[in-house]
Amino acid sequence: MSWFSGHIEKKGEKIAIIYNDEYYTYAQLAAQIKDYTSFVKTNIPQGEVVALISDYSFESIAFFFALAENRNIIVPVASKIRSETDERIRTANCSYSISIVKKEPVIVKNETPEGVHSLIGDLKQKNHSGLILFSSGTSGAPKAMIHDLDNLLDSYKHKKQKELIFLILLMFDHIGGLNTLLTCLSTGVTSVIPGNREPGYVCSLIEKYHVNVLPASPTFLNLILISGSEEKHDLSSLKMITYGTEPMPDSLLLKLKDAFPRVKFLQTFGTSETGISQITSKSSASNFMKFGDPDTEFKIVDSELWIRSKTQILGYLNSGMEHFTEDGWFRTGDIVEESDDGYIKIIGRNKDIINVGGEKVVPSEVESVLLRMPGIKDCIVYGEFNPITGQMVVAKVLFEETVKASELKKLITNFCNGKIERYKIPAKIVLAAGSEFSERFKKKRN
Amino acid sequence: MTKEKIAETIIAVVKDYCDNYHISGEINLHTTLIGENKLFDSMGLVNVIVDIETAFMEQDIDISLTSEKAMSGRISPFRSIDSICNFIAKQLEEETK
Repeated sequence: MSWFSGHIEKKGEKIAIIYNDEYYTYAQLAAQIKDYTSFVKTNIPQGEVVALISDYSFESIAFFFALAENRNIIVPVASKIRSETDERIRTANCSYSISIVKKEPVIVKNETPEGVHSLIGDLKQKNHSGLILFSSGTSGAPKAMIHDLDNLLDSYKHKKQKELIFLILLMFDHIGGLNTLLTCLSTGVTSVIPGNREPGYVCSLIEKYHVNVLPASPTFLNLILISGSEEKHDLSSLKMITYGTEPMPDSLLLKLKDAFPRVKFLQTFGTSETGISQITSKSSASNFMKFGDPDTEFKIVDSELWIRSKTQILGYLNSGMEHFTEDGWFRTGDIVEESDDGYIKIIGRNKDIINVGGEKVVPSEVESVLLRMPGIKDCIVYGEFNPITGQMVVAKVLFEETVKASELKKLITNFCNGKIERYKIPAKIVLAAGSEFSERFKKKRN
Repeated sequence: MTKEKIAETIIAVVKDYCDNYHISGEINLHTTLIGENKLFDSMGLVNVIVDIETAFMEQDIDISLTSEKAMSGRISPFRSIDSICNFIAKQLEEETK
């Protein structure tokens, strides 16, 4: 038995999980893991890549640990979209798929092409379990990232034990969600797992189970405020809200402080590539943070945050390592601002930032000006190579009338003059067809 | 396309741009665009280069002034109207080979 499963067993009669109004102790979880481990050992060979198609539940958590015990490569898939699930199974080359139906695991053997990826071969040889997560890219196929799961689990060893109740909101197949789960189990706290992520319902669970810690995304916290759910429920048990996964607007953080004056707000920082790092926020009302994690090194290169951690991925199954340097630094793509006292704040993403002769242009700012212009139905702004200034601003525009690109450029230039600085005004206009704008309102940048 | 025709297109674009931005100056084949007695600053040049590309594109002539190649020569093709002319003429010549 691994140290993690052993740790779970030792916590005994403490409540580990509250799910669907049922209470499960650590001892029950340990027993379920043992049960599933013998089931897995008789049905799935060690080292196989296995898709675990489920959101959080008592059973799926137990199964996760059973697969780790059997030294499998686990691919958690929480998507409810069939094509997305299928694509992940195919990309990760999963030889088995597990789903939990009415609390019982159902195994399907998949047809897979022969041969294994060298990174998976390495894990097999080392007799380590693995974990494959996908990046949520807006364009192209999602990237499959492979972690050494034994190594990742080891990073939760010797955690200080706590008496708290957490609510697990982030997804099972997301590094932030898995980190919450592993943190909860390794620190011996109680985890409340909501049946859905509707803000009113989540607030009702916080009230009912006296939840102390809520890890969430800024968007979710904003939804709570928009819905007014915090006024309808007694959330006085909340001691801490941690937030991450996307930038927190300063204005929203202030609104949240106002709505939850006694709650401590703590920013978390993580990437799927390097794992979640412990950081400290400068204050509850500040987005400035400092890394305080012995397993994480960081540095700032040309305003970009670089991270090297002990829990970073081994590599990608379907992509090169261009975001990593040869000596293992991961270029996060996050542009940071550093204060005099050593705190840093994320101000944007560099792959979106257009550098026009040293002047930085954030596409969304230009887009919001263009969208105010009569006749423009939609637009995407991006950078393109230009021999004079390195990059220039390009706008792909969906215009309501038939117009020549040269004419539209004049109209746009005249409209933008005086509204934004000259280097931000698109130097090039590309006429777009309506179908080029993605339905999910996530714009496809070049 | 003759060099005269190419020059005509470029001069029309440059004139048009200067009119829009109230830039005065004589515009002919030997007008320097950047450097001494310059007509444009860097953003002006970026815009004019793209406008020239677009003007040719709208005549169904495919040329590129914003490729890496435009940076490779010792002397920039963007120095004068004449040098842009030559750069485009050379591209079209290479295409027909």
